[in-house]
Amino acid sequence: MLRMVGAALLLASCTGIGFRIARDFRERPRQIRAVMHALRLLQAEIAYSATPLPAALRRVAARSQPPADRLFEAAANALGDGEQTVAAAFADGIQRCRRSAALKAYDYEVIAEFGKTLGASDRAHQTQRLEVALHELAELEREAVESQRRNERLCQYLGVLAGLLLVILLY
Amino acid sequence: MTPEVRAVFQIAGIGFLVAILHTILKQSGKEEFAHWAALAGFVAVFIIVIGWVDHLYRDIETVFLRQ
Repeated sequence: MLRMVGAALLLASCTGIGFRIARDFRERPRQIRAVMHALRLLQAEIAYSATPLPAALRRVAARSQPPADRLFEAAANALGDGEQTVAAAFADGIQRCRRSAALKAYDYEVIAEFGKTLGASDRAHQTQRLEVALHELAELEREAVESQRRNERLCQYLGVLAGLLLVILLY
Repeated sequence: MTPEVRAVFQIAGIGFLVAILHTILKQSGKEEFAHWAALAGFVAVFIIVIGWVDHLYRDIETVFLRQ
């Protein structure tokens, strides 16, 4: 009886781990798209309504999906506290959303690189930098979709099979 | 279930799972992992079988040599 319970727990936990990893693969393209959407909103704020940066970031955060909303919210808050450069505020926002998001280190690298140029030059140059960042993110999104296609189902199967194998070996 | 029958089913189960694992890994283009998985399954089964062969030789020893 206890054996059955242990086997069931082992199987359930291994399946859970597999599905958790698969979820990261599934979430990453969506999250990259969310960040791209947020950057486009920010572009509109910069180009057409010339909002001050903290307010612009806050408005973008209110209108975008997770994890971009958390990133921009944290950046806006860090910027609102004063004393911090925009790059540092962006780094702060990235730190804040790193814990919960499924993005990879090089995704953040692109965002941080863009954050360094934000607010440091004129409107045309910033728009240009934004285009570059969007382009890079689009590239990463394509790569993320490809990796999702290859790895999502695989991770689910691997989790279940690893659980079954352990159960058989230990039973 | 006696331990012997359990071992047979265990080995059969490992073979079955490793076959599935091999197919899945191969389908998703990770062929070297598929080979490693097959090798790992082989080693696991080998360890179980070695235990039982050891058992068998001990039994033979007690039957023929220690009377």
